[in-house]
Amino acid sequence: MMLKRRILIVLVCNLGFIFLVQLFNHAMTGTSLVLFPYGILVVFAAMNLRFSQGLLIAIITGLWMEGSYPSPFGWFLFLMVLIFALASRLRLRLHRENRAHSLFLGLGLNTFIYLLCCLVLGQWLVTSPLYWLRVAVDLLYSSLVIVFISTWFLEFQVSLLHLVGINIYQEEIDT
Amino acid sequence: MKPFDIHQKGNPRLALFYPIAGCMLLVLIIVLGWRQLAEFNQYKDREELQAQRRIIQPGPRGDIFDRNGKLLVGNRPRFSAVIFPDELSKLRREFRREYIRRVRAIRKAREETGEHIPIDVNQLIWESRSAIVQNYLDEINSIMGWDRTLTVSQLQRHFSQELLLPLTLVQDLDHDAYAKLIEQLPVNSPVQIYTDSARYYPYGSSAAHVLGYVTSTYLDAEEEKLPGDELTTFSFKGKEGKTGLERYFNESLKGQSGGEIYRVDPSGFQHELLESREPQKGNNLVISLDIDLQQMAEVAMGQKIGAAVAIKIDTGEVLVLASKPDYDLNRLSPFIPTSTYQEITENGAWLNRATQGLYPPGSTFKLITSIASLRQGIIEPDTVIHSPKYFRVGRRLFPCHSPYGFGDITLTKAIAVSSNTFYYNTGIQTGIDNIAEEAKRFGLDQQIELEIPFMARRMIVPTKEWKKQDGRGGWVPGDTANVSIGQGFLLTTPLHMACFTASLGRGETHTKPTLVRVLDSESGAPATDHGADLIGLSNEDLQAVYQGMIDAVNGGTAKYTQLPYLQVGGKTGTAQVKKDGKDLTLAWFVGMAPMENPEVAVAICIEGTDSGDNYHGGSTAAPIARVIFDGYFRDRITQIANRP
Amino acid sequence: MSRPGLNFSQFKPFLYLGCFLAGWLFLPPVFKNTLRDTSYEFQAPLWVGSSHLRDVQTTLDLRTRSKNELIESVRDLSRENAFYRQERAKLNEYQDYIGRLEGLLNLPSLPEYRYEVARVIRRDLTAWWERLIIRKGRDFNIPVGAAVVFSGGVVGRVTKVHAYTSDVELVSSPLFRMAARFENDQRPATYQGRIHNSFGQPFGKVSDAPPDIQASSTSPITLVSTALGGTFPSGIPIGTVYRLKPGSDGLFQTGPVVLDKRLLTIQEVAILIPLDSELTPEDEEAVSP
Repeated sequence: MMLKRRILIVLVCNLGFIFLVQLFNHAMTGTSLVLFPYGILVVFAAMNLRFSQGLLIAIITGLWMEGSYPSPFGWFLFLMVLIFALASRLRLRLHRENRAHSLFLGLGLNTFIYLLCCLVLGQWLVTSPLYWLRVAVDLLYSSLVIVFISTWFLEFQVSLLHLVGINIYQEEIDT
Repeated sequence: MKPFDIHQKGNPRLALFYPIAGCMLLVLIIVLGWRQLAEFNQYKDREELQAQRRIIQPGPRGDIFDRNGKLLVGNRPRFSAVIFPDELSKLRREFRREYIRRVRAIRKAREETGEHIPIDVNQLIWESRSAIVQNYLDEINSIMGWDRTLTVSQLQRHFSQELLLPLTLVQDLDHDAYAKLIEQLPVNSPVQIYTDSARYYPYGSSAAHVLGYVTSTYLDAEEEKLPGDELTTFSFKGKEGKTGLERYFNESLKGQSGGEIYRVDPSGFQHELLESREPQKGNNLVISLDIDLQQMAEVAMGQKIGAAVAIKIDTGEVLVLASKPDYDLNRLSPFIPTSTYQEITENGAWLNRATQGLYPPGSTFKLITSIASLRQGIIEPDTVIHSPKYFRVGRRLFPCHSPYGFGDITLTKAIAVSSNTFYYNTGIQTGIDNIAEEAKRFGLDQQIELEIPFMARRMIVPTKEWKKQDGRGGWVPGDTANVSIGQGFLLTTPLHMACFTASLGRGETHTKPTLVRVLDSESGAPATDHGADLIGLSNEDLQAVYQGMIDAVNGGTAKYTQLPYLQVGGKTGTAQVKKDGKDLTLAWFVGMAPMENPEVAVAICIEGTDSGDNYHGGSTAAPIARVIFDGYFRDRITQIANRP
Repeated sequence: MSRPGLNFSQFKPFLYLGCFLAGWLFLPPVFKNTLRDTSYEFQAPLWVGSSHLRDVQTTLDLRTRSKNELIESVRDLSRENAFYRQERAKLNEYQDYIGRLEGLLNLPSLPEYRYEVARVIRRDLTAWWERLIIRKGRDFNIPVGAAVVFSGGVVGRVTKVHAYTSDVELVSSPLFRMAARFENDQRPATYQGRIHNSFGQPFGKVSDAPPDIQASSTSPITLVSTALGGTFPSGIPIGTVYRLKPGSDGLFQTGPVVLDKRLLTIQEVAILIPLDSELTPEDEEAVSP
């Protein structure tokens, strides 16, 4: 039961985050700036939950994104699972209580998937300098936003879990 | 003893092998070095030859404009639905999948029926490729509501001969199809719209013989001066002028070819672009024709067969060069359908009658007879000669066209009324040698150099020697009488007569016509040097000839060229010819205007096609000339009148 | 023998990833499509709900206005309505006239459209795609491929229709291409969307433009839709062309097309639905001779 609750809470946080980002992007279309902070979606799950729980969250989050974007089906699902696998591989080297580590992990993963998206989703545009200019601006913008919100987002998940009686930092995580 | 210790001591039996092995190693190193260093270029060249292909793409041809800047020949885009080579290369995965599917289907059928169904691998490969390409063609079919197919043999030809060129699925899309496919084919579909150019003639059949047409031809790679001569080369079809200006100015009009060198994979598919040069458009050409005037002349000629030429007297620029029947040049672009070719051949429309049609000049030649007589002193302007209704030469009576004759007349009157008996008389007195000499002075026996190919070469200005050499027997006075009025053996072209009239207008013996726009002397350009002599007549003599032409228009045979605001001078002619056993008439007119200071010379020749055709120079040819004079001068007069 | 420090559990994530990918590849397409549609339809109510919420917000915002302001607005609206009624009457006259001419010349009449006005519930404009999600779908018989317009001209084309929403490919998307023509010229050209700068105006590119068309910053020309393509009615503005550059072959010109900036903040669109596409077999039987 406890396990189900933590999956549910992290999942709801992720889906809510995606929805808010999309709402924000909808409101900001006049500037042609696009926020793409999805790299941080797997950070909490990878750093704090069991592998199977995190994988389930990554899959459902990926599927949710599949529904919202017109990318080739499976692309975001693949990306989420991929960065979750990468983050899980790195969790031993990072301190989950250290927010800076989480932040850098989020930034790194986000840059990685964003560039992958640029190469795959915009493959017919890669020869255009204008495309890369826009990509650079959006990446900078997204990274700045991640710097500002990642701590809040991760702490928010911790607090929610705490509210339902799960103290994530005191639990031993089976790696 | 440790393992391998045995080899640490020298074995004398092996000593011999060390130098041998050393030598062999040395040879190996030297040969390897030689191959790597000395023969590097050779191997590199061989690799290039095997792995690189060159594509030549012709540059669009230049445009042709008339003297007023109106586009006569341009390029129109020609759209095709194609699969580009790089996309075709990407389709290989689909080809393979289809091939596997088919093989599996055959195997399954084998298992089910127990029969041995043979697999022809080659056939199956081509069928698979064809099926995939047909799927894409069906996409177009469904958008357009068509039912087009691409055969296996078409596909095989493309793969074997044109693999690096676009695979054409549908050619010559009209605007409707173009727009539909652009809009409804996905942006990233392998099928895309390819654009090349076809010649476009906004005025259709107008000046068709002058402008000429082009045919598609594979480009000569060496001539195109592109790098990669030694590479296997694929070439898009270029265009080459076949007739008219398109042929004469082919080198200038044709664009500079572009080229691309690709590295190909082992199957010959496009892999990587190594070098590229954009094709460049050819030079534009501004010609001397006035297309409005040309069209007026053509409309005036209607369905009649013949030619009309108008020349600017000072520069020799050809303003009108019309030949009927003609053909719509757009029907010959981008290729000539067999039916069109046959239709044009049956109509006899390929012949440019203005420059290639050989006709006896009829009474228009009387102007030359007049000049010859005056120059030889046989007559003076005021010499009165009796012009009866018949003139006897030996035992033969030569008639005048007037049933009563014209009585006692002078040269001026003789020109105005075109008296035959006057010219029989004066012609015989002048002699064939002098008349022929005069005609030759005006270049009637010489090929004219104009900027279109296939100019007439077999003009005849008969002389005694010519007749003898031609096996037609000895010269008789009757021959001279005939030549005096432009009949007999004389053969010339309308362009020759136009040049003669222009020369007469300047008082010179030769006019160098041109189809290229020449700057006016008004704009500071030097006067054109026609390389001519003066006619050699006194002013009084020349004025008498001019006056005869004026009188012909004012009340003589050429009265249908009269214009109220312009003094036109002219001479009509009606020649008789025998063609295919029929007695036909030729209606001629030569003239110039304004007579005060001649600016434009015109020659018209209309062929009768039936014995019943009642064609005369005055009634058939002169009205056409009137249209040309009117078309040329009406605007100019208005402009001059409007000048502040 | 494995090296010290390397153990299998470290590669577990990647093993799972590999298994997941292999499993995904072998999933039947029907399952994938269903999963995708389900995933979309599952979250669609959120978007529809947020859109309705925005409408309510607007209404509440209007309620805060003073009576005088409202009266003034209603007066303005009445004026506008009267103007449009007049325009409508004029249009009807023209349509009747065109109909009469078509009858006289035995011309087939131009395709007719009905329109559906729909609210934009989400604008999704990234460097990879530019689309709108609108609040009408299969429930309003919106067909795939239908033209979408707004007061400023062409908006795009419907690419996907869901139960209550539809996706619209925006005219500025690099994946959007349509046949176009210049105002006062009937020859078709090709318009395609182009990626635009951050903070910049949306724009596209016109290619295959006839060589004799001239455009400059002082006398720009409007690129409009052509009916030849079969999707859009003729004459709907796409954008403005300020310069055209001839190609090396001299056959065509290309140039950028500046689109209406309002496209980026568009709130409401109209979908043009060809009436022919809505004919039932019975209708077709009834209209066929």
